[in-house]
Amino acid sequence: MKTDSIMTMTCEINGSESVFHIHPGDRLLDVLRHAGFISVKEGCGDGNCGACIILLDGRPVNSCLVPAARVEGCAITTVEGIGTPDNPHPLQESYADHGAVQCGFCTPGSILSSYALLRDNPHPTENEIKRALDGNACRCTGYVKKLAAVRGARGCFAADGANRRKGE
Amino acid sequence: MKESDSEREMISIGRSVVRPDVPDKLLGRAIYAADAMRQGMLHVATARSSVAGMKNIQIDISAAQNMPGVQRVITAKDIPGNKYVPLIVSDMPFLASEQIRFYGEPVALVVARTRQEAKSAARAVQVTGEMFDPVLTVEDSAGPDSYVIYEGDYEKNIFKKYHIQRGSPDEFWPESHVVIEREYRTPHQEHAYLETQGMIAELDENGEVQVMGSMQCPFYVQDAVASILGLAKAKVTVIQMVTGGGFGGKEDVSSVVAGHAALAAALTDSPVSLIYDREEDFIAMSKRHPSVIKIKIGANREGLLTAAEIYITLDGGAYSTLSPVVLWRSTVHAAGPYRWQALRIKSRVVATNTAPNGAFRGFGEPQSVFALESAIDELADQLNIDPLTFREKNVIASSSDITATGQTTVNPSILEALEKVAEKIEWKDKFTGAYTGVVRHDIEPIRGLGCSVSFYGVGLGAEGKKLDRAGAFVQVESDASVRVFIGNTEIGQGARGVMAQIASETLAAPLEYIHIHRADTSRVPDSGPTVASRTTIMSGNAVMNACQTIRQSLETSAAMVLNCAIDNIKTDQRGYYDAANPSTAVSFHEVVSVATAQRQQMSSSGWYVAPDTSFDSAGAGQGNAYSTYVWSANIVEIEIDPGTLQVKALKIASAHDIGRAINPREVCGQIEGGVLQGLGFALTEKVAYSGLTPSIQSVPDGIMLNPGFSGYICPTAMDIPEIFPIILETPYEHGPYGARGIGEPPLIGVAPAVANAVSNALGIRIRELPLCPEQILNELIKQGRL
Repeated sequence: MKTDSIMTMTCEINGSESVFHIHPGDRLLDVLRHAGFISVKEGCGDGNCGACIILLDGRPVNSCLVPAARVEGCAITTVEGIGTPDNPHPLQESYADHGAVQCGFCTPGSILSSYALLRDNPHPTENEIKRALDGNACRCTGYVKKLAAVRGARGCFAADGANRRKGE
Repeated sequence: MKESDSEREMISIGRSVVRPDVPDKLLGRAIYAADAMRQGMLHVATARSSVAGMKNIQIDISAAQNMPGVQRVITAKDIPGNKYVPLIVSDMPFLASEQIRFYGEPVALVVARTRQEAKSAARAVQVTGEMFDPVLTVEDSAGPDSYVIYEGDYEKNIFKKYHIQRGSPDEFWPESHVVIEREYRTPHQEHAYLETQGMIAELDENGEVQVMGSMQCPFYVQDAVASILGLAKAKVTVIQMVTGGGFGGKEDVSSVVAGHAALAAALTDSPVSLIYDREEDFIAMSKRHPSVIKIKIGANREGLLTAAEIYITLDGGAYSTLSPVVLWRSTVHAAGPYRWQALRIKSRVVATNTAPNGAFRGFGEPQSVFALESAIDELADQLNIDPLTFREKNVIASSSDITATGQTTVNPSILEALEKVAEKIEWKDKFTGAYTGVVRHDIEPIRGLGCSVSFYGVGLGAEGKKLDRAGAFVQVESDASVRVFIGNTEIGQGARGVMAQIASETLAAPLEYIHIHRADTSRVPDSGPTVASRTTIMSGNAVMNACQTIRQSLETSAAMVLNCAIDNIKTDQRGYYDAANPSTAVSFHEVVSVATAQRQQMSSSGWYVAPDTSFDSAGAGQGNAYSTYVWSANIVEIEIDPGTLQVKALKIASAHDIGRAINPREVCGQIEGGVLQGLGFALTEKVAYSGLTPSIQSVPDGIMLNPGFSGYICPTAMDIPEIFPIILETPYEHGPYGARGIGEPPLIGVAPAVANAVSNALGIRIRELPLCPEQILNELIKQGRL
């Protein structure tokens, strides 16, 4: 329930400290989008589709289900934080090379779920990859090329230690 | 092209390159409708009916007007222009003012400072009136006492009818060795595109309106916006933003969203944003038409098909929208790619008090193909012939065989498609009889194989031919970069990439020089809708046409540089060269510099009109319905869990003759995505309405009970089988570089192949989708096998 009261919340987004003035009922999804992190998409608003997945202290969560007030002091990663046009993450390159992107609406959430998987488990089995992407609904690709993209990026964290972030 | 495409190495065609839209999407930088911001932007929410049927309605907006942040509440009487959404019959009001005909029907628009304020106020709009019992099934719609939803050219509640007759089936029944009569049913299917509907609208100081957003068909949207505002189309510009999936669900209904947004912008003189939440997108947007299809087919002793009688009834929902043309495609393809000696197809689409049904990948064909391909298997079973062999004996296989409408086709390749899928799944080794014993939970999972064939007429065909043309505009800049405007949209299927590859090939320009602009109605003439798997052929040919004009300029300049005759100019990866002296080439960049300095024409519009088609709708329904067909075959291997009776698809081979794969990897992506959507249609997807579904909730009839991803079950990554996409390439003479199209065919044949596999596994026939465990359980109980 939204009230007029305003509170201050501080968290780290993509490595930078950010301060927000929020209402107690605000969803993390809305706070991030209003702050310009438009890669965080709203697909359903009830935690089913995964389009709004972000990494909260390194773990993938649906930001539509997280009250913004809950992330005080936490570290958040969005897709904006893992690759840039000049320096895309190897996982993003693998998605491109494998044809894993069609309409693109589920892509940021899928990248983050894949990122968390490969960081913690550099050489996942096929079933582990499927499980990691189970929460990212995709209506375009039939998932085949997304699984191939994650498979193709196995070991990318081991090879590129620079992508490891503090606290993850 | 002077030399034939097969003789030379292609520059871009046939290469699995990365699509131009991909990098922004991967980096989270692509701007979708909900991401757009404007100075002073207001937010719109739609107030909707909470019942499915109500007459003589009164709409009370007073409470909503006094809610925090509300700037304006809009009802039908505020519409300055046409109050109905322009389409085939134009019977759907933008905002209901007299009757409510479906649950979720829009009654008012609330404009407020924030989206949340607009949503809260929309819930405060009160609708009162006389409730009536909504009509929820096609049987009820036709019943003598049913409520009249629609009165048109036909009898009560019938939006449209079609009739195809070739020969007299009655003459063939006595001489047929086996004749079967069956009834099949399919449910609603929800598109479930990941991005919900959304639009931004704004007016400028010249009184022009600009609408941007998520859509498949900018020219439909332009019509709708001009219509609701009573403006000249020349004052309405529609621009498609990055669109998060469509599948038909953003074909016609996006016109409603855009019309509402434009109306709100005009009446508040402010930029507005209208973004749907998932629940309203589910309850109010179009779905795949549910169907009831009765089939009577026969075969002789040699296993050759004799005659077919097919009766199709589609549930059109509350307004006719695209139903007439959906019905036509369903009808024309209902007899499948088979040789019939005689046939009769009668079809109709009827009104019910549910959300209007419309376009969905396959466009009426998945329903009729499910029915026919199930029946073909049932007939093969009666004849005791292997269903694959039965199809091989009976499919259209030569250029003299005719379709239901009496059309001959060029190089039909179903046999080749069947052979490829059979080889991939090892049909001959694996196909065995059904398990007919008791299904105990502790037995091994039961496997089965099923196949299906289908054909798909690409483009709008005879009943849509007025719209079957497309334009393009191509301009080569002095730095040799190339801008291309097209009238069809990128909705995730890869249209921009395909157009870039075609432009690159035709101009002999490096692919990275090509920039495909977003679709903008002010830059390209009406190119028809982005539907019917038509974009590659239509916009592709228009782009080629424009590029060929520019290429003449480039060849003229290249000939001067190389000091040879223009007719001697050829191109390859390096650029332009003299065929008599192929070792020296001039790069595209260099030729452009020379041509620009020589004041050559470096821009051109392009235009393409589809080859003529015909359909005798007043007579026997004969004619050349479509100018080309994609030929398809599927084989699926499934496993049924004896404990839960869940069907799991293990492998699907899906073969399609698409003429030419411009980007083979992306074609495979279309096949894989279509197959999985087809698998959802086969196994899990169903919309539930109160009054039709047992429900513990006490709600009036006609309320959608599962408007979201927790109740409406789409396949996830955990549900995918091993998918084997197979591309066949028999060139289409009028296609750009021989290409046809691939968007829809992959979905069409999946459900019947799965139903046939269930039959092959357990010896039971389920004639209604989805093939959920409850259906299998009921059938096994009936047979006393549990």
